[in-house]
Amino acid sequence: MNRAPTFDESWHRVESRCVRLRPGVEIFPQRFRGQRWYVVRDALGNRFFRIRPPAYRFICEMERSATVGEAWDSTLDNSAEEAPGQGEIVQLLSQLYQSGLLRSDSEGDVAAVFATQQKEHRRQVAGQWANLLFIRIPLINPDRFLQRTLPMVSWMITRTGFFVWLALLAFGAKALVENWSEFRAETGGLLGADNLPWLYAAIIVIKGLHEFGHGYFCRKYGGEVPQMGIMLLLFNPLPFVDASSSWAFREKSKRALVAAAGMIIEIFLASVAAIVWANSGEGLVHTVAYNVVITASVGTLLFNLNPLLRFDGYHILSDLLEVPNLQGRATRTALYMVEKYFFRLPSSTNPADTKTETFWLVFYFVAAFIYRILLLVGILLLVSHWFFVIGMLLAVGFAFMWLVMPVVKAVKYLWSSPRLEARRGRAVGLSLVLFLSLFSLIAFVPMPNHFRAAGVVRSDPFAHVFAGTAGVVGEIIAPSGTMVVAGQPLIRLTNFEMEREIELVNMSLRVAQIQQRAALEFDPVRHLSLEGYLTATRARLAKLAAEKEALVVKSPAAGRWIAPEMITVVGATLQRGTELGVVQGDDSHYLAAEVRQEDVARLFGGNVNGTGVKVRGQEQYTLAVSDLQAIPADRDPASQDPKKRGRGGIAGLDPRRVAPSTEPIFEVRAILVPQSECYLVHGQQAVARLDLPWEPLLTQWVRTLRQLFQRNYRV
Amino acid sequence: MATPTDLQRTVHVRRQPPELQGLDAISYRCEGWWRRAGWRRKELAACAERIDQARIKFSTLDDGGLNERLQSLRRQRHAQPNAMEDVLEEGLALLAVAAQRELGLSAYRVQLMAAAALARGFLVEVDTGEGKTLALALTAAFQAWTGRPCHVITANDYLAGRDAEQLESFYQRVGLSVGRVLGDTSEEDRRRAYSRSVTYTTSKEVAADYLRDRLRLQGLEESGARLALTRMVGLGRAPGSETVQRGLYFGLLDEADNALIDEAVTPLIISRTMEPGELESACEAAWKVASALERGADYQVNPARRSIDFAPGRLEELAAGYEVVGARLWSSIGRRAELLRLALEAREFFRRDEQYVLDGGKVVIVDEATGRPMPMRTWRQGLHQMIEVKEGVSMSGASETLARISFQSYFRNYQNLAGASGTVQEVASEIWRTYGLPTLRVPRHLASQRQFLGWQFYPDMATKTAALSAEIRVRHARGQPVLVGMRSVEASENLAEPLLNEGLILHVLNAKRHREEALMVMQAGHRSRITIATNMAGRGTDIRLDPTVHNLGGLHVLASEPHESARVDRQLFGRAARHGDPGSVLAMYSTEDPLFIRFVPGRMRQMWTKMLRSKVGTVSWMGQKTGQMLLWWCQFRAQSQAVRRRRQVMKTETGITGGLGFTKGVSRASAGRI
Repeated sequence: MNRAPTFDESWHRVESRCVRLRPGVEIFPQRFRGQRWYVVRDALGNRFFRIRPPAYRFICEMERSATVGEAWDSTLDNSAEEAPGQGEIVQLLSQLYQSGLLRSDSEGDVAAVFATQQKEHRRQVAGQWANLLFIRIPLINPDRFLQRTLPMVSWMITRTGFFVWLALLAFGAKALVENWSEFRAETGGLLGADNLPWLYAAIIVIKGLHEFGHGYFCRKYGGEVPQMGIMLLLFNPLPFVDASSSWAFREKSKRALVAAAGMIIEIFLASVAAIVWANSGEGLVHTVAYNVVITASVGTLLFNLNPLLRFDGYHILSDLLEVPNLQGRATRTALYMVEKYFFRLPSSTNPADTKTETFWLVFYFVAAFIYRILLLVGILLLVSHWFFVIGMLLAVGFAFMWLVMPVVKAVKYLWSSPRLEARRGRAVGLSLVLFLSLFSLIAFVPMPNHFRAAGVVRSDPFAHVFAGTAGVVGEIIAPSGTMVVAGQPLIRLTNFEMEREIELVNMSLRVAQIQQRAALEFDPVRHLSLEGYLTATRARLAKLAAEKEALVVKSPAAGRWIAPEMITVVGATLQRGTELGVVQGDDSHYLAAEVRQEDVARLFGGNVNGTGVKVRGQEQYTLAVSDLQAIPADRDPASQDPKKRGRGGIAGLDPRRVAPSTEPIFEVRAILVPQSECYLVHGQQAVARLDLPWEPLLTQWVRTLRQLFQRNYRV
Repeated sequence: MATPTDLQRTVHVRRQPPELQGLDAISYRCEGWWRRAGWRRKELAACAERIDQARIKFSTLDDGGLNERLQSLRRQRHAQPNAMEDVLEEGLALLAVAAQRELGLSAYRVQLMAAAALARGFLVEVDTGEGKTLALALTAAFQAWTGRPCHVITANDYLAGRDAEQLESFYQRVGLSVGRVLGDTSEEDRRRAYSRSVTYTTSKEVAADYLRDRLRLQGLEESGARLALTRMVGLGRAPGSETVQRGLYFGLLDEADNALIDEAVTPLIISRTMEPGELESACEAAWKVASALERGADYQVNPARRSIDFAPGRLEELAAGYEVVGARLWSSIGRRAELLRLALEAREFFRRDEQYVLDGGKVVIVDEATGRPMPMRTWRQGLHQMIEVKEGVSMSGASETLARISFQSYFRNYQNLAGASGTVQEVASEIWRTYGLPTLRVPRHLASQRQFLGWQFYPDMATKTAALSAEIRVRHARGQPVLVGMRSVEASENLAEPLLNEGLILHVLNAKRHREEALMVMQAGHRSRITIATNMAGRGTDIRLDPTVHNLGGLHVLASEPHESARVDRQLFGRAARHGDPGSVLAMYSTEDPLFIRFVPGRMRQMWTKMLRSKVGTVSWMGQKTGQMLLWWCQFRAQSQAVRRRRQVMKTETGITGGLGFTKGVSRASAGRI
């Protein structure tokens, strides 16, 4: 057994002192994992301490002895085996003193008391800033209010209340299951601009009731609720109450129940709201109920119940597992694993007792870390989509808290932790090697680099057939769907007026010729002018002849003639330029994709190693590409991109709000190599994957980030 | 008759600034660089120039006129202690004139510069032999004019006594009194000495007196006002409760780096020896049980971790047979195991003449770093007794600590601390961080004529010793005096024996009897003299060269072993060529010196040894170069370890002080009794 040595060098400082606990400090017994502990509680500062029975016995002795030395003597007399050593006592007294729980017969070091107080204050402020996303602002003391109103709600916090709650939950779940498809359909409008105020109001009200749930449960079991105020969760004001006095409850179940109270309330609200929602028609009540269901259920499950974040679920888990300060312990265990197996520190001690516990603690640490990172990325993606500035600020805040701070702490630990004294060189070296290899992996090792472009399959050739001149649809020479060659007549149009005009022009030509001949003898000047008139009339005639020719519409290219509507309009008069149908090739297709200027440069100059195209609906086939061309096509990408056009306002947002891009857009054409199994039709949606030269991840990330900024700030 | 204000001042200490962290700490370090920056030296040099001009002007005054000026200035300083800058230049000039008339010592400009810097609270680096004593005396007198106590703290009793005696006439001339506190001074004499304007003493004495005063005050030291009030209303006038010191205002340190760095973490303990009691009987029982145990069979020893593993069950069987009456520590199984572990540790890890020596029936701890016996120290409770049982000497009885302070914490208590030393540049940043003292290098009065002949490395101890003796013989034959710096007594004997057999006369000193050693070191500059001394021996003593030795190249210093700190090496080097005399230094180290064994990895050291053994010129030249690099590296490592240790000690101390704040102050119960 390794225990602290009996004697201590600082003993002389405390030995002859008379020390007592401050009035108002209470000690409660508690059981943790089958072991007895004592919780020292300071009712004023609402602080807690856990001590072991020997320390408790020493404090009892201290209360009735004249000096600390005497108290130690009598604990030694009572049970020499269990009595704490001098060092342990010095440490205990120093902890109690620094928490302001100790009173001594001396005047005390006023400056030190002041310094301790200031340090505590600074620690709190620093804690608030470190927890920038969870700032608490205490406002009022709700205790009296809770006490007075408790009788009104007290009947609900009973067994009967529980059954009512359970029944409501069942009904609510039933209502949801029955209307599930409707329920899902409405999720689209949840984050819509017009719904946001309702959603926010629902959150505030629900969280308020949630907190009152904690308060009432705590009060019901006799705990004090000294604080209520506003917590800025992600700069979002939400109410909170301080129910931490429940930590001193003796029964584990009561502690857990107080922690779960908020969730109980929320589930209750969600159930009631689900029933209301299912039984109401479109309208305000319906909308509000819907919002309540979503916030109270999803919010509860994702955040409150989730033990990976430090909300209610965490405290419940920590209490049920009887692992106080679960996160800290998990972090220490993870650190221990690193120290033991990576740095091979001989003196490192495992905070966990068993192997299983070690495993779960490390598992918890890793899971919580990954979850937090995922949450970070998720929130960022969601928020930066609409509120770019806020998203970026959040990103900076989160990154600072969860990436920069741990790195700073790690450096500090490596640099100055006294525990690494013997192995600092090894620890620093290994960490450096790890860091450098990770960094060079990201910065220097080329990684696969793809560019994806969504586009539309087009046939080649592809030609629209227009009416070259106005006319009545007379005869359909080539029926729709037949293969035609270039120049093959497709449709014959008739135009009676045109034929009349040709006749008239012919006549006026003849009149002019006669007049010219007559003028040859008498009036040479007139002869000349008639010559000009004749030329003009001949030209007009030629033009009319061409137009007449155009009455027979010919195929502009070889391919399949598609004009399914034509058969229905025989006899109708068409304007000049009316689209009659299309002629499209069957054998050769290309993919037309819109690509931003910033990406085009990377695609050309022999950079593309390989390209594959997948057509939507036939993803099992990858089509090869024989050639790649870029054509300047300065158009609005929003109206061209079939993907965007198809969706039409994501999640209730007006597509008009998406600012049209002013940067040049290129059309990239990928000539597809046909595959017998893959059926290509003009107008299919497809995605091209272009394999670019491998690049280190860092380069890729930096480029993506810069493009993101450029798009949002045009910088 | 002490006025209430005087009483209030008797407990004066500097208010400790809080430990800085984060950006505060960084900006504080930046401030340190700024304060140490070179322009300060120019400013002070200009100041010294002005003082020198004033000194020349005042030296024409007759004695009466000088006394008048001195007296008026003293009054002014006394009336306005904070307006130091106004009178600094004039005051130091007048004091320099007084020193010239009384002591016959004319202050150089660099000494004036050092004095001005000391008054402004600098830690001054003055090369050895440049007259620190006079500079300190000028500043001490200038500060003591304020009427506040001024402590001049020297390296040892001999120096304190010598300086106080030599400078007495000077202090009297300028209207001040001087006292000295040495190891054997009685309490009454101490009180008288501290009541003088200037007190010469050593760090050990002054800190111990401080602690004893705290014990006398019984908590009243926390508030001067309360102390004065208690005394005024007639309470607390119990005999013997008068303090000896008058508050910590001005502290002037000679050999400051020794006090502030080398001895910084040494705790000074005032303890009371208790009657042998239950701890001793329990220790005896534990030792008996332990002697029945066999290594390997009953317990395992882990030498690397210095720990002992044993199965408690087996011990219980053996221990059950021993009943110790009235020893509660023995009746508890856990405590009993602890005692047994101590007994086994005492047997396995502590060896006589390595960790401790027996001196007059007492166990005396040997400092592992310096190899010097430390009669003041004891191991922790239990272990010390266990070793006494082991050696069969009479039990000293558990010593009960009454008060305890480290020198580091003590010196931080001075309102105005300043100091001078030959070597502080290496630790400037640490001194600034710990004590808030900026460092300043004062140029030499005369250009140094020291010849540094470089380092020579040898593959093993034997070759090094041979080379050393050869070097000594060569120099001795020419009549040149040689001073050899050694670190351990054993090594000095190894070296001395063959030389003694040849009939050479050697003077060996090892930092025990300061007075005799100082005299011997003083004569180290005589013709053909060979002195072998530890680094510390005769520190602060002037080595005067024979006139005949000047032509032979002055004193030749041989460093035979590297110290953990390059600073201490430099102190040894500084013994050559003082006062602008000629002199030379040669460092001869071997790969088997403890510093290299401790810090150079085994394989590296083997390679290096091979290189040095090599007959090929370039390879062995590379060996020499490697040696220089390794020397630098080892000293760097050793120093950063030491710095960390000192910081840790300070942190622990502040932590304990903060945590046990309730123990401070006068206890209410005893306040009623007084």
